[in-house]
Order: sequence, then structure tokens, then C-alpha cells
Amino acid sequence: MIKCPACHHEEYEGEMFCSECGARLTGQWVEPPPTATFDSARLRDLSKAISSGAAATTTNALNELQSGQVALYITGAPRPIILEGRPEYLLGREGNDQLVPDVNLNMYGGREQGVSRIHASLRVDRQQLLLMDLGSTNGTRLNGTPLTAHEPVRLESGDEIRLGKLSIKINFNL
Amino acid sequence: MSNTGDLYGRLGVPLSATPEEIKAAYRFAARRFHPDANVNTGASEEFKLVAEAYAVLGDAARRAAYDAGARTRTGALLDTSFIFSREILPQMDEPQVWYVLAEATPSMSQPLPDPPVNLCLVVDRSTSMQGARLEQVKASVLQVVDSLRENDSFSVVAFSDKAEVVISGQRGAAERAAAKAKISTLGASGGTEILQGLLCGLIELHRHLSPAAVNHLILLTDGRTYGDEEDCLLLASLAATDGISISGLGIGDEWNDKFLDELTSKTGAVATYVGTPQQLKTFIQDRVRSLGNTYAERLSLQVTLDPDMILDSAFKFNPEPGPVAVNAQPLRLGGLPKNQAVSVLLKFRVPALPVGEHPVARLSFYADVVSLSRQNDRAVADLSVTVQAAPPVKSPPTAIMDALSKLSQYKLQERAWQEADAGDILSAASRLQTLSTRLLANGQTDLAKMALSEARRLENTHILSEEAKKQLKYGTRALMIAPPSPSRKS
Repeated sequence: MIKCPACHHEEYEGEMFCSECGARLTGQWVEPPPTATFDSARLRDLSKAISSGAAATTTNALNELQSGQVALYITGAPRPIILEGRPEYLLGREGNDQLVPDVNLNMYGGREQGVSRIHASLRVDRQQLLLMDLGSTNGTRLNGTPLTAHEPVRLESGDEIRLGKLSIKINFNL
Repeated sequence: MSNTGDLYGRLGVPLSATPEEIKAAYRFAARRFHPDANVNTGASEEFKLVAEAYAVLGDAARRAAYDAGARTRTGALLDTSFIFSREILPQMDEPQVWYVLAEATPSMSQPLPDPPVNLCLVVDRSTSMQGARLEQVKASVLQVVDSLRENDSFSVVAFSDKAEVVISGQRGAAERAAAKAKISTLGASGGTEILQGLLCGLIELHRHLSPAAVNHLILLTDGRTYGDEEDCLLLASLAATDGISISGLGIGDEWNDKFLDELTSKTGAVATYVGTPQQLKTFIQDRVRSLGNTYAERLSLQVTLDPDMILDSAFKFNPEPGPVAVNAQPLRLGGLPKNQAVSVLLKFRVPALPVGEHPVARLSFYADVVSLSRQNDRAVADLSVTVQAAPPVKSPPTAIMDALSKLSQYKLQERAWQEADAGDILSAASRLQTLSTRLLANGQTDLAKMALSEARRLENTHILSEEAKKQLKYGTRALMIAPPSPSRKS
């Protein structure tokens, strides 16, 4: 059996899309692309290097976060965006087509910073937070490493993600 | 003239095979399909065909006579090709899934005559059809009458609680004026009893039923039928056996899509969603035109499984996407248009197997090549998998990935409605939201928006919108039409 990387549902070997969530499965037939293998140790070091200056904020924020909450700290914004109550959040910016993503980054200069209208998604699954780039124009980075589109990666509280040039620090308590 | 497959094909050997090769091939095939070893549907029939072939090809004199005769026979009229999700399977001690995209194409590409069409339009005239819907139906019928050719036959049945024949098996231009006059008097009243309409329509089709024609019934409805669904499905199975296919056009949001899908798929055809009455004319016109452009009709696929192999499910992608029932063999695939392909995605479950090559199934396509007045043509192919201890890693073919990606979206919406029907609103809403993400990822912004807004609506009101349901169902289905073309001939 193989496990869906997004929702952990089990499928037969040889299955290519999860029957629960439709995510593309990474079976033994997939040549593992370099970005899909998630070297957490290396990334943890990177994130420390980036966030060492903001360590105090992180601790404070973590104390305040209630169970089930995700906080997005956008560079330059006075207060974090708090997300809760949904299994999945769309990150992007409002365009002409009236589709408003769950997290509308327009008011944070999303357009200028190269955020796509439908940029990425955050998914809560069994106390884990998964980030997936949705084929955005300027890409998504996790702690500096570019993500492969449509392949979810697991986040840890304190990670820095970058949508285009817009940097967001994520803390969560799940 | 019947052509149940070339004898060499039955044994899976080339024309140049030596007597030893023929004997070995016979032993292998006989072992695969022997009734004592293989209890799957079709195995004992296949065993007989194999034995018959060997009786001829295994005897030098009879083989020579057969070869001499073969020069005057025409070859198979269907070409087949297959794409596999994996060429080689790793050895594992658990079952694995194996996908095969099977395609049948006409083997003749030169211009062929159009086959005669024996068509019956069965029209719902219940009260709800009043106004624009019925007016559009009438206009469409007039158009069909004008487009008829000399050897076509066309009838119209109108039904509510009871059915009546409005135009009966009309042929040729002489009766056209009278037929048109009768159509214009059609009025709407009463309920919807589909069984009445179907019965009456099938009787009309039987008057001109021909194995050399396309025999087709178009059921046009905007409502639900109550209590007679089971009888309708039984009737559809019988119609399929008689060589009649039934397609459905559902107008508006009230009709029962699950029922109409099941009914039509029993005959190898599909149901289509008609959002507004204004679209009706185009839909009917397209359907009638495609019937006249048929290369082969009553295309069916007999999947004779090897022992321990399972055919899990099947889905037709071309020419019209729709589910294919695998609980009854053969699988009905409908009509094969000229210069096009019928493609069906088969999902097999393969048990734990030792290293080596293993036969999975024999696929036999059958069809009546109506454009050449030839019946019961057969094209055979054997599918097998190779199992290795540690096969090289290879990504699956794009055609399979593309097909599965679209099918997985379709399945997500299907599950959402199942969950909503079972009262699990939250799961359904979250499933739709997931679907929305997938659709966005694949650039389907409009459908994604629809899925998302339906998810929100479901969360807030806990009531399913029939309109959104049908639009998403037939919308995700329509995405599958883009023809995946096999990269490799088998």
C-alpha cells in the first residue's frame, strides 16, 4: 500500500491519484524530484538563521495561539492573520474574476510582490500543516527552497514561506 | 457475414508460426482459459474458440486450406492499441493496481458510405415541459425531419403518464409534410412516466430494426420518473441485446442524472446535461449528425480475465465520456465514429505475483461495421504484465496521467454528492473544497469557482443545489473529452 502525501489515505501500489483528496500520489514509479525530498534537518538550520532575530515574537505568538489556529506574519504588517476552522485555505489575491481566496494578499502588496491570484494552499491534516504551490507564476519557496507545483510539503511552526517575493512567517498550534 | 477473429489471433501467434510454436501457444492458451482453472466470465467460451483454432491450425492439411482461404477474406476492420500505466511491475507481496487505456479505431480511413439510421426520439411532454422547452423540441424535430436521408427511418413518441406515437417509422420525403403538421399540434400535460415512453419508442424502432443500421433512441426528459426505474433499466438491457442504444438528454435541473446515466450506459451510450432550452436544438442536431457518421455500431468489449485477476472499474473517455458498468460482460461502448477512436480506461487489480511474465486478460472488441454492412467483427488482444524484483523507475505515460487526473476530479464530485445524500454535509463541503483546489491547479477556474461556492452554500444552508450538482458533474466529465492518443501500437 502507498500513503497519500496530503491526507495519508492508503491506496494500492500503482494508484496515481488519491481517491480521498485527488492529490497526485508519489509511488515508486515517480522519479523523486530533488524538491520533493524534504530534508527537515537542513531546513530547520536555515529557518533558524532567518528567524533568529524574531525569536522573541515567535515565542509570544505561540503562547497566544489557541489550539487549531494558524498565524501568518506578513512582512510589514502590524498584526498576524489568524486562520481557523477550515481544513484548507487558499492563498492568493483578489482579481477581476471575483474569486476571493481565503487569504487575500492584495492589501499586503501581493500584486506588486508577484503573488498569483491562486498561488498556494494551506491544508490542515491530522495536526499537520501542508503547503502546496498551485502552479503560481512566480513560485513558492519554503525557507528559501523552491517547491514543485502541486506537491504538498509539511510545514513546521516557525517556517518562512515566500509567495513570489512576499515573505510570510507561519506559526501554528494544531 | 460473421468474423469472430482470425484463428491465428485466437492462439496469439503470427502467420509464420511453426507447428511447434502453434502447439506451444495452444497449450498456453488452453491452460489460461480451461474451465477447471478459470471460472471468470467468458473463459469457457474462449477455451472453445482456442480449441477450434487449434483443430485447424494444428493440422497441416487443414491449416493450408485455411491459409488459402484467408487471401480472399478481408482483414479485421478494427484496429486496437493499448497504453499501460506501468510496463513492468515490481514484485510485491500485496495486490497492485494496473491501468490500461484501450483504444479501438477504424482500420479504414478512406471515405466510407454513411450507414442507415433508425432513430426514435422519445419526448417528455409532461406539464413541466410547457413553454420554451417544448417549443424548442418541436423546432428540433422539424429540423431532424428535414435532414433525413432516403433510407433513414425516424419516429417520434411523446409521453407523460401515457405514451403516444406522434410520427411512426417515417421513411423518405413523401410523408414529411404530414409529420411536420403532427408535431406542431403537440401540447404539454400530465406527469412523467419514462417506462411508457421507452416501451413505445422501442416498439417503433423494432419496426425497422436492422443489424446493418444504427438503431438509436434519444430520450428527452426534464423530470423524474417514480416507481418504474427498475423496469426501465431492464428494458434498456434488453434493448442493448437487440442492438439498440439509448442516449439521454436531461433538460434543466429536476431530472434524475444517476438514473439516466445508468439507463444509457447499459446500452453503451451516455446522458447529457442540457442547461437551457436554447441549447436543445444544437444537442439534438449534433447527436443525429454523429449517428449518421458512424463507422461501427454496438461496439462491445469482452474482458476475459486470467485466474485471480480482477477488473475493478472502467470509464469511457472517447467519443463521449461516461461510466461503463463492469458487473455485466461484455462492456458496452456504443458507436465508433469514422476517423475517431473509442477509448476506455480499464483498472485492473493484479494479485501478488512471482517474477516473470503473467497474462492478465484477453480483450475482444466486437462491433457491427455498419458503414460496410459487416456484422460481428472481432479484434483480439492479450494483455500481460512483467514482474521484476527491482524494475527501473519510470514515470507513467502522459496520456494515462492526464486521463487519471481528470477522472480523479470527476470521482471527487461524485463522492461529495454521495456524502451529501447520506447526510454528511461537512464531508461533502470539504470534498467540494478540495475539488475546487484541484480544478484551480488544472486551470479550470469556472468549475473551481462553482465547486467552491457550492461548498460554502452547503456549509451554510445544508441543502444541495441540483443545478450546481449537474453543472459540476457534467462539467468535470466534459473535461475528459480531449482525446488521449496512444503513443505506441500494440
